[in-house]
Order: sequence, then structure tokens, then C-alpha cells
Amino acid sequence: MSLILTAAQSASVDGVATESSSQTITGTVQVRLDEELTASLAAEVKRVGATPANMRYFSMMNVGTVAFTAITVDGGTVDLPMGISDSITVAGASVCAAFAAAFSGAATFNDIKVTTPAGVPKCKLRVHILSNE
Amino acid sequence: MPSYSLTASESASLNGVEISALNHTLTGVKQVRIDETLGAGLVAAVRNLGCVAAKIVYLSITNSGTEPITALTVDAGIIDLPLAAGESLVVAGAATCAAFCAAWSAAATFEDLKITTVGAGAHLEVLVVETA
Repeated sequence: MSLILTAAQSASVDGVATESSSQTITGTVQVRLDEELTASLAAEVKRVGATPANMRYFSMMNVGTVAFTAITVDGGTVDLPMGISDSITVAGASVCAAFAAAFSGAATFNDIKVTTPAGVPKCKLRVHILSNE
Repeated sequence: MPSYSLTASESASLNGVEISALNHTLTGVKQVRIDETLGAGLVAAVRNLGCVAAKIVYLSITNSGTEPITALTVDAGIIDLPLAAGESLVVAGAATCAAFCAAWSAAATFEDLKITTVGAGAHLEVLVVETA
């Protein structure tokens, strides 16, 4: 599947709306995590399987009702907390690579480790990644 | 004090600048905006953003020009963030903004933006919104 987004456009990839950021994105691979995480989750690893060199678009949002205390990637030392509705969107090859390198301990972008407060009923994380082949 | 409640697919104008919606409520009382075309051969331009990292609730950075910005650093931070033409980064929400700024800025503040370019066509847009 090829996806081209320009300024002020959006599109649907496999039923998921992807917002543009004034960037032309040609995506052939989409990774989607969009799920409710269970209570008392202390450490859950989600396999993303993205290669930073091919990433063109990355977005992550806490769409639940409870804050994430930390999100780490590939054992990176930077903990990225996300309050309710907090989000980060990165569009473009070079800035995606820089972002992934900064937040990933292995300079890859594969395993997302999510930490939530113990005893909370539900957290929901939404991650979209578009990559070139 | 203006208050902005944005939901999905919505946008609003803060002091004449449109802010993309990210499912977030933004209460903006201070806005910093840089929107200019950078000169040829610019290797070190420091822009005083005058922001306090702990108050930032929305940050967007876009290279809307035709030439790449090879590096953006903040407060002599160790992370060089390149932005090719058309590339952008948007962070919304207090917690995520604070974490991003702390990672990007060596001083855990968000004041001096150093820009490195190689050509004349780079155009940097920066929008920062702070709470009170």
C-alpha cells in the first residue's frame, strides 16, 4: 500500500486515520498498536518491529483515562511519560531517525515498554508508524 | 486568559496562529512564535524562545522551506535534531512536553534555539504554548 499525504490532508490506512504534518509520506508498512492495557500493568512489551532508517511517520497518543508513568523503547534510558491525551507526532525521515535514536537505547525502534500505575483499570495507547519498504 | 479545547480533527487560532488539534485541551496564556526564512550559509543562529520547560503544553517545529536544517539544538543540548524540508515534530501535553524538553535541552529549560543550515531555502516555524 502506498500512502501519500501532503499539507492539511489526512488518509486512512487499513482503516486508521493518519494525520499529515505538512509532509509527503509514502508509506508501505504500517504498525499499529491501539489497545486497552490491563489493570496493574507494570511492564508490558509491545513488539513494534520498525526500522528507524525506514520510518517516515510516527505518532503516539495516550487515548485512555489514566496517565502512563513511563514509555521506553528498546531499553532506552529516556522515560517518556504521557498524561491523558498527551501525544507526540514526528513526520519525515531524518527527524524520525533522530527521534528514534534519542529515545531508543539500541538506536532501533522495536520494543515499547509501557509502565502504568498499579491498580488502574484501563490505559489505552495508540501508536502509528509508517515506513518505506 | 484564553482557553482552547481542541478535539480530534479540530483546530483553533491562538493570537492568529493556527494550532492543530491533538485531542487536547490547551490553555494558552503565552505564545512564542518563530516563523522566518533563514539566510544562506547560516551555521549558528541563536533564538531566544524564553520558555520555561515546566510550563510548556504544546510544541511544534516545522521546516516549511526547501532546504534541510541539519541540526536544531536547545540550550546547548546534546541531541541534534535535523529537519529536512517539510519535516515536522509536534508534542502536545504537559507531561510529554516536559519529558521531551528535558531530553532535548541540556539545561532542562527551553530557551536558546541554535539552528544550523547549509543553504538559503530553510524556513523554520516554531510554535510554543505555555500555561500560566
